[in-house]
Amino acid sequence: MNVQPLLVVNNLRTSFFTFSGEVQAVRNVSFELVDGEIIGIVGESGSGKSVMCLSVIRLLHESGQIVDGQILFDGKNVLEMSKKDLRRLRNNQIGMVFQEPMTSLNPTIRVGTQIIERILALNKQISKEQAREKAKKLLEMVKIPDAKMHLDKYPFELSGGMRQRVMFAIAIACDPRLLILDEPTTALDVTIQSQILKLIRNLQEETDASIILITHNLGVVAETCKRVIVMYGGMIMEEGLIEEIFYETAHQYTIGLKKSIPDINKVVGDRLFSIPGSPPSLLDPPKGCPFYPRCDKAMKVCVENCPPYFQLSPTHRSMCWLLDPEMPGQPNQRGQ
Amino acid sequence: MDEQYLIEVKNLKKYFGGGGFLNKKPVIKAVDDVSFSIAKGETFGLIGESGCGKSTVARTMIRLYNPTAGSVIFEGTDIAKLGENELIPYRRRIQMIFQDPYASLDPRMTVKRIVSEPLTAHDICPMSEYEERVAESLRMVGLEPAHMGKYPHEFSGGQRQRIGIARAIITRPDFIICDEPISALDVSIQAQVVNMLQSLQEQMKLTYCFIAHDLAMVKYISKHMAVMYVGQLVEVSPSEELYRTPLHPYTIGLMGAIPIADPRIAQMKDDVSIKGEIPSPSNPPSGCRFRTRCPFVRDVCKEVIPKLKEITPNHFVACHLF
Amino acid sequence: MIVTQQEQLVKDWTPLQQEDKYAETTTGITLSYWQDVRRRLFKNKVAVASIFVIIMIMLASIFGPLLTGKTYDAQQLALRNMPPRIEIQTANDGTNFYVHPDLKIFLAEDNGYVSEELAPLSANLSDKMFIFEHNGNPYYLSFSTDGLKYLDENQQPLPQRKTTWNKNYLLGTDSLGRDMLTRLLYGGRISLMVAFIVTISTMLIGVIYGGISGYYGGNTDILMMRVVEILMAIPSIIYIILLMVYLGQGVYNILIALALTSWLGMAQLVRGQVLGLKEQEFVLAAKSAGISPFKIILNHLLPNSIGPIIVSATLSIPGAIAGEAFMSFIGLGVRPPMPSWGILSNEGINAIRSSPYQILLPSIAISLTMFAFNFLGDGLRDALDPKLRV
Repeated sequence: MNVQPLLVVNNLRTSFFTFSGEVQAVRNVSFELVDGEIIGIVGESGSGKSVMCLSVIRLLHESGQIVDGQILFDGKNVLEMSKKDLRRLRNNQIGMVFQEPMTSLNPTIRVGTQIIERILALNKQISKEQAREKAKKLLEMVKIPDAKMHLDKYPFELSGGMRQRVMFAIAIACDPRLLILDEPTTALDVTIQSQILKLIRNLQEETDASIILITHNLGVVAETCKRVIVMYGGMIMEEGLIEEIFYETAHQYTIGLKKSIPDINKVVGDRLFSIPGSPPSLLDPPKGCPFYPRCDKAMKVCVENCPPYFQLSPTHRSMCWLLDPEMPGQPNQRGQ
Repeated sequence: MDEQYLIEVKNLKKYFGGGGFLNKKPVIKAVDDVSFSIAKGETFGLIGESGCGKSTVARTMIRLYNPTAGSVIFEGTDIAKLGENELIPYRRRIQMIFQDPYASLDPRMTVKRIVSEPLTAHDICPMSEYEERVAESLRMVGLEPAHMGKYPHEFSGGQRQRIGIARAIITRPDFIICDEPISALDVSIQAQVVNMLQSLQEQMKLTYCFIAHDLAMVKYISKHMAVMYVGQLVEVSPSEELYRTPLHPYTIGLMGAIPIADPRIAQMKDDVSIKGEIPSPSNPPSGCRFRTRCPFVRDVCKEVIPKLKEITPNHFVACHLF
Repeated sequence: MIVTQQEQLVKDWTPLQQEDKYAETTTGITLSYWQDVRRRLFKNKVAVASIFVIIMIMLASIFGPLLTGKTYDAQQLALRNMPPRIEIQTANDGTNFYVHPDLKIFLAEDNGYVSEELAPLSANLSDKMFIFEHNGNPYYLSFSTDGLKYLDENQQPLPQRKTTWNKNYLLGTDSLGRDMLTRLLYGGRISLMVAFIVTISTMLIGVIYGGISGYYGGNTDILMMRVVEILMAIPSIIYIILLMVYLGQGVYNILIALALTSWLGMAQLVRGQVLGLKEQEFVLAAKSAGISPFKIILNHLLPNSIGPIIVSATLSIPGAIAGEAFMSFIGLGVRPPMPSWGILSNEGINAIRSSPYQILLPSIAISLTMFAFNFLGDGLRDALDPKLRV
C-alpha cells in the first residue's frame, strides 16, 4: 500500500461571503487520509463537515471561497489544478453520494441510462452494450436484486434505499480512490440504514477505496469507521481511532455527544443529558475555543485563546486546554 | 369505556384515493384498523418507518383528515364523528407539534402572531392579554419573550421547534400529539427538547402521543409503546417490556438495526438486518404485511391477517407465531 | 497565572462562571421579508431604472397636460401636420419664413416661433408658383416636381436656413392641428389608468377565485378550473372585441372589458400556489388549532403567495396597455377626440410617409412603458424568490 497519504488537508479555511458578512464555515482544519481507510466525520449542523468536503473537491456555492490552506490529493495540489484536471479529479478519482437520493437523480431519465451515461463519460472507447453490461454489474455490486430489470426503472419507481444504492453504483462506476459520503443514510429508515451501512463496509473491502463518511450519528460511525474526526464550529475538536474516541474520549464536546444519545438501558424518569446552548454563530465565532460557551469545564483561558492540539497518542489528538500539562491540580480529563 | 383513558382509538381506518371523476386512483390504506388507548398524564409512543402510517394516525386523531372508519374517543366523546363546528371546543384541548421546524412556522409572521394564533380561534382571553400569554408561553419553553417580535428565519432549528411547542401549549391543552418533533434536530438539541417536553408534562399535567422512528428516544420518554408497520399495529406493550422481550419479528429486526454507539459491541453484533424493502401502502402484501421480509414466514401468514393477541399482561402481538 | 518560556501566553485557569457563557443568540442582521426584497430589488440596476422611468411617465401623464398650456382637442388647422423639428429660412433683410407643406408661408421669429400667415399675392399655376410679398420684397414658392422651393426675388433659395425645435408645439401637431405633446401625455393617463385598474381587478377576481378553488380542492376545484380552462380556450381578444361592440366606445367601457377578461391566468396561478401551500405544516398547525378557513386563506395562504401574485400582476400590465392600444387602434376602444396611445397610433399610421413622427411618438411611448413594466416584473420575480433566478 502507498505510504504517501491519499488526501492531505492543511490549515484549510473556507468562508461564505454573504450580505450579512463573512460566514467562516471551516476554520483552520488539517487532517490526512491514507488509502483504504474509512474515516468518519462527526458533527452537527454548522460544524463545517459538509463544507470541508465540498472544499476538497472545490464544489462550493458561488459565494463560498477557500480563503487559505492547502489540499493535496495524491500529491497534487487541488487548489491550483486546471479546470480540466479538476474535472478529471471529480469524475475519475472521487465518487460522491449525498443525502437526498431523489434530488441527485434525474427523475425523467431511467436509472440504467443515468449509470450508462456516467460510464460512457468516463470511457469513450467502450460500446453501449459493454456499458450496459458494466451498469448491470455495478447494480449487482450494490446488491440490488434483479439488476437487469432495475436498469429500466425510473427513479420514482424505486424506494429511498434503492435509490441510494443507485447513487452508490454511480459513485463507484469510475473505480474511485476516494468516496465521499455526505450523510448517506440520514434520510433513510433504520432498517434500510442498516443495510446501507453493511453495503458501505462491503464496498470498502471489495474496492479498497478510501471513504469519508459524514454523519451526525455516533452509532453509524461506531459501526463502520476505523478513524473519527469530531468537528464543531468549523474546527476539528478531536481526532482518533474509533476505540480512542469512544473509550478514551478527550474532548468535552465528544463526551457531551455520547451522553446525549439515550441509552436504551435508561429507565423512564431519568433526565436525558443535554449539552446546553446552541452551536456558535459562524459570522462572529468566539475568539477562543468554539465550544467554551457550552462547556461546563470552561476556564478563563478558553475564552481568549484557542487551544492547540494536544497529542494523546500517535493517532489521537484533541483541542482542549484541559489537556495542557501545565494545567494545575487534577490529572487530565479523559475517558468516561 | 375506561375512566382512566383520556383518549381511545378504536379500529381507526384512513384510506386515501379511490375517487376521482374519470381516473380511479389506487386506494392507499394508510391506516388499516388501528386501536390503542392512552391514559391520562401518560406518554404513549408510536414508532415505525416510512409508509407505516404513524403520521396519518396523528393527523386523523386531530381531525386534520377525516377518518374512513373507526372512532377516536376523547373523554367519552367520539370526536371522529363530530362536525366542524362541534369540534371547535375540542381543538382547544388537543394540540399538535410538527416535525419540520422550518415548515411548521409561517415565515411571514412574527413569533408573537404565530404563538398567539390558537388564542384567536377560541375565546380564551381578550386581545390585550395576548402579549402576556405569549411571553409566558415562551418562557416556559426556555425562550426570551423579548424575541417575540422576530421572524422564524432568525432562529435555529431547535429554537423554532420550541416556538412550535409554545404555540401548542398556549391554550392549556390536555393532550398533545408530537409528530416526530425531534427527527429534524441535531443530536445535542434533541435531548434539550425532550427534556423540556417532559418538564412541561409534569408542570401542566399533559398527556402525550409521541411519534418517532427513533426507538431509543421513544422508549425513553414513553410508558407504553406501539410498533406500526404498513398501516397496522404489530406490537403494543409497556416500553420496558418491549425492549426486554420484543416478540414480533419486525420489532426484533428494528432493534437490531439501530446502530449502537459502541464500537466493540457494534463489531460483535450479528448481522440481523432485515432483508428486502418496505412494501408500499398502496399495494400491501396479503395476509401479514411483514411476511415478505420475515425470517419466520409460514403458509398461514400469506392467507390470514394476524390480530393483536395479549401474550403477557398488556403486551399484545399480531403474529402467527403466537 | 503561568507565563511560559516558549509562548508568551498567559493562561488563566480559573473556571468560567455561568453568566460569562452562553446566551441563546439569534442569527445575523434582522431583516424583515420586505426589507430583504427591497434590498435585492435595488441591486438590480435595470429594475431600478424601470421604476424611475415608470415614475417619470406617471408624473408626466398626471401633471404634464396641465403644464403644456394646450388642450388635447384644440385644433389649429392652419398649423396641422407640423413636425417637432422645422426649418426656418431667413431672407437678407432678416425676415424669417416657415414653409408649411400645405403650400403656405408663415412669418417666424428668430427663435423659431411661428407667428402669422402670409397670404399669397397671386398664383401662377402654369409655372406652378405662388407669389408672395413682404417688406417690399417679392418671394416665390415653387411647387413643381423638383420639390417645394422657396425663392427670393432673384429666383434663388434664401441665404440662411436652420432647423430648430418647434416652439409652437413641442412635439408637433397632428392632422387636425392638435398638440401632439398634450395628446401624448393625456394618452399616458389613459394607458396608466388601464394598467392599474385592470391589474387591481385582475388581482381581486383572480385571487378570490383561485384561492377558493385551491383551498377547497376536490370537486369544487375541478369544476372551477374547468370553467377557467373553457374560457381560456378562446383568445381573450375576441371576448374584448365582442364586449366593446356591445358596450360601445369609451374609456370606462374598455376598462370593464379588459377587467372582465384578464383574471383567468391569475386565478390559475393563485390556485396553484394555494394547492402547494395547503399541505405545509404551518397551515396544518393553524387548522388543527381551529382557525377558520377564511382566516387561513387570508392570513397564511395569501401572504405567502404574494410574491408570484405581484410578479404576475406586474407582467400583465404591458399586455393590458397593448390590449387597450390595439382596441383603440381598430376603433373599438376609447372614443375620439379623447386621445390614447392606440388612437394616436391609428391616426398616425395614415401619415406614416409624410409625417412619421405621428406614429413614432405613440409607438415609443407604448414600447417604453411596456419595457419598463416587463423589466420591473422580472426584477420583482428575482427579488421575491431568488431561487427562481436562472
